[in-house]
Amino acid sequence: MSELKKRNFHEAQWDESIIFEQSVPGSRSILFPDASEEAGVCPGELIPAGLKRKSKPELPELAQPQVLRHYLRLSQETIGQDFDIDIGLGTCTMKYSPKINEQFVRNPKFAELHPYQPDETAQGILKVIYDFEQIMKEISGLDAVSFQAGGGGQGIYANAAVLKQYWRDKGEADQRTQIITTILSHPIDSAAPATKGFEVISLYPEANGYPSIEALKAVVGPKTAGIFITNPEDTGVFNPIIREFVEVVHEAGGLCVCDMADYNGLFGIVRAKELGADMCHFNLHKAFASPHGCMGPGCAAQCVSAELEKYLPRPRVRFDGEKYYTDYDGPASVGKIRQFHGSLAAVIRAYAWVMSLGREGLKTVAETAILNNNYMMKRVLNEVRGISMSWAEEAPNRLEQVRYSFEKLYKDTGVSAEDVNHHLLDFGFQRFFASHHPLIVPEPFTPEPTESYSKDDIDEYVDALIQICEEAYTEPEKVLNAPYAGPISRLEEDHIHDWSELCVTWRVWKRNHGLA
Amino acid sequence: MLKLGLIVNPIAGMGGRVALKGTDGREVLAKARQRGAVPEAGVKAEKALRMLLPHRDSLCVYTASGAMGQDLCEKLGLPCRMVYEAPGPETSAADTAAAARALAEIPADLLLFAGGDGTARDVCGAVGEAVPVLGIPAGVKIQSAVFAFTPEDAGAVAAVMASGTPMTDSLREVVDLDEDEYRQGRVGARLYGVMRIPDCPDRLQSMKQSGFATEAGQLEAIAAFLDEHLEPGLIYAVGSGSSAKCISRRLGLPYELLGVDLIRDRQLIARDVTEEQLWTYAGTGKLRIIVSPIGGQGFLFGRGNHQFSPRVLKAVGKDGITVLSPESKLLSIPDHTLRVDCGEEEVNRLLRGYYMVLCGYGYHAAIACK
Repeated sequence: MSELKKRNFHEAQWDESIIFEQSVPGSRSILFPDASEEAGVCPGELIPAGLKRKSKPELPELAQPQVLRHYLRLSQETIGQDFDIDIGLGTCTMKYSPKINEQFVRNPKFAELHPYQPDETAQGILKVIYDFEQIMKEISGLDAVSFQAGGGGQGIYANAAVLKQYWRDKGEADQRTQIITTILSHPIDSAAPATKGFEVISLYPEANGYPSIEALKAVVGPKTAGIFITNPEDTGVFNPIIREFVEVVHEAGGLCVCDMADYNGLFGIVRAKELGADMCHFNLHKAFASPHGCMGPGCAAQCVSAELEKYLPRPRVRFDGEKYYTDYDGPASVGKIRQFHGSLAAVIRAYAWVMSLGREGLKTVAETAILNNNYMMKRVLNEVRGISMSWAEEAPNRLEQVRYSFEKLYKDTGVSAEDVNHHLLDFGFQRFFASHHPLIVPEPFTPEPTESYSKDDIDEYVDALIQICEEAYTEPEKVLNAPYAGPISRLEEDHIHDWSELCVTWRVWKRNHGLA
Repeated sequence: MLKLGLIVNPIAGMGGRVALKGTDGREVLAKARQRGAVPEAGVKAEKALRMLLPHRDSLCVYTASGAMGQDLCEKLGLPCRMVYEAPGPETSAADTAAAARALAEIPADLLLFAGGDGTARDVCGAVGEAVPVLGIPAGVKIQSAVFAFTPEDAGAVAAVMASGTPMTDSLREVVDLDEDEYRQGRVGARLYGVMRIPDCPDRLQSMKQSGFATEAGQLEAIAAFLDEHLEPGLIYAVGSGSSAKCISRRLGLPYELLGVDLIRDRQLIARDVTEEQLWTYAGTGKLRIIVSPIGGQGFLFGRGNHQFSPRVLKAVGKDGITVLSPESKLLSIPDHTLRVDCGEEEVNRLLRGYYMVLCGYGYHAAIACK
């Protein structure tokens, strides 16, 4: 173990109340001049009676400095990818998002575009969409791409919608009612087809970490509409018989949809087409370096074969040799998944990222991500007490991420994965990702050291894990009572089983607390 | 402050190492001692209780005298109160039951017991569904779905509760073999009842993720899907246990929790049927079976449901069997594998292969049966 660099870290604490609670009646951020005199009429009277509010909206009333201060304080209380070594959040591909790309999307030429502008005044963005579609065709090996889906889950949904439409078109929608997936694919690979009315059959892994071809053959048949499969699975295990899987489904008449959300270890190495996929999707806000969440938003590249192009969401962007234009036509299309062309800020960032790297650069991304993960894996398995890797005996290799288990640590010391997670905050790391549902690996931990992290970054993270697990064996109370470097220690763990307990707006909060 | 009930069955497990297949009854116990058996339940219980040491300020153990719990608490320095005193040094099933009743009266927030299926039966008979219960596996026979995977897992559930986290629970089956028959090479398991077991004791983490359906919710979804797919004219034999009976609850029909009921066209046509009755219906070719595996074990047939005899199962065939299970129960089964042990190897072979286990509304898991 190298010398531990434990930072003297403490989370910010502002004790900041909800902005509604800071409201001072009468306070204003902007005082608008009275327009009545110039307009000759009270502006309110120009609004049709049916559109007028009966009462004023209950908005917080604050001046600009108070508003700015409030949100800056909240931002300080938040740990984000840009100022923590965000290795722990596996399956999310937390990589560096180049800041120069923010200049492109904040450029008024893009920021002030209106989606209803005539095509001839928006040739630039249409060209970006068109060109990036050509790039994504090359990366996937498939024949047509839509960027309309506003996130990975919606990308899978969009593919499920295309699949449904495909079977309707063939007149077999009533027969082809079942989707096959694997329990270690992303849960949305089950949920999205279910939303489209398909039944779902999930395959469980064997001792080698992926399902057997026998299990697949046992459930495939004339009812099979298709298979939705993530590869590598959530665990970083690559299913080496994926082509056999696809062949079995194809022989039964079904289509293959590849979930390429976890693509970071495959750039330049594996394409959806060679796997035999008919459809796939990528998350531009993950492997393609457009940021997640607050600076987001998300965007999926939905890629399909030529046969399925007519089902893609509309509109599509086309090029007639001279100019780019928006094509709304498409009677077979699934219609709109989302408004307009999708999250174009994500498309611009991803386009810039790909162009800055080129073909060789992209392959280097995957190779570095795999190298980083394997370096980390070696250290973790050799040096962190009480940790193990599932299916390690039969499947010792991993690509870009690993699902570890703290089961031994937990049995030896009573310190659970969740306790380790709490203590990591004391080292200045954000919470790690445990696992998608259901937890078939006990006490799970899924880190993903993408290509953005240096050897020193990885060492700092692993050293913290080593120290925490040593403490678990020598002073378990210390880990069980963590975190110490946060404004609050442990929150009571609670969960909502009943939707009526859910409270996502101020209005509902007041109602649930008897204030309204 | 967690009121933790604790009952150690000091003699549980003594028959196992000396190949006696259980320790029910005084004669067997004497024989076990003769063969050199040593008490193990206390050791297992200690492993569980050690998980609670960091939480000793936020709990009090309510337990029985001496080796039934008191000694252990004193050894580990856990605060404890005695609620039952065994009359003599040799404890019996009656002591387990009396201690359990005393703990249900308090009532304990959770009752931990160290033992096997026999102990589970005694506890179940005394407390029923009055308080949540969890078994520390320490017996020879661990067929019931009321045990944690390991003693440490059982202790961890109590630790979670001691730290103030509320836990939901679900009804789980208590089954036990008839030991005399078992010793003679016959497996004759019976379903004795159900108890309230904290959810996912072996997969604590899953409770910490919010937003997922509870087991009760999953069973409602399963029942709704089944309801839509019941075929007119067919006779559905609904197996024992609280999961399988979800369809009876959905249809508003009375049911025998520990038996097999017959449903046709959404009506109950026979309750708690025998093997003979099933065989009669099997002859019509219209019999179908709806079963749920035993949690933690994975047995579909041959444990607690001998009405489904080899000849009945052979007549219905693998395709006539619908298996349902909440996902959490599947995960509680080692290797996620179903098992059959109906008594005839030839029929067992027919029933092996993959089942599409119904886990939700239109949601199946492909699970191997070995």
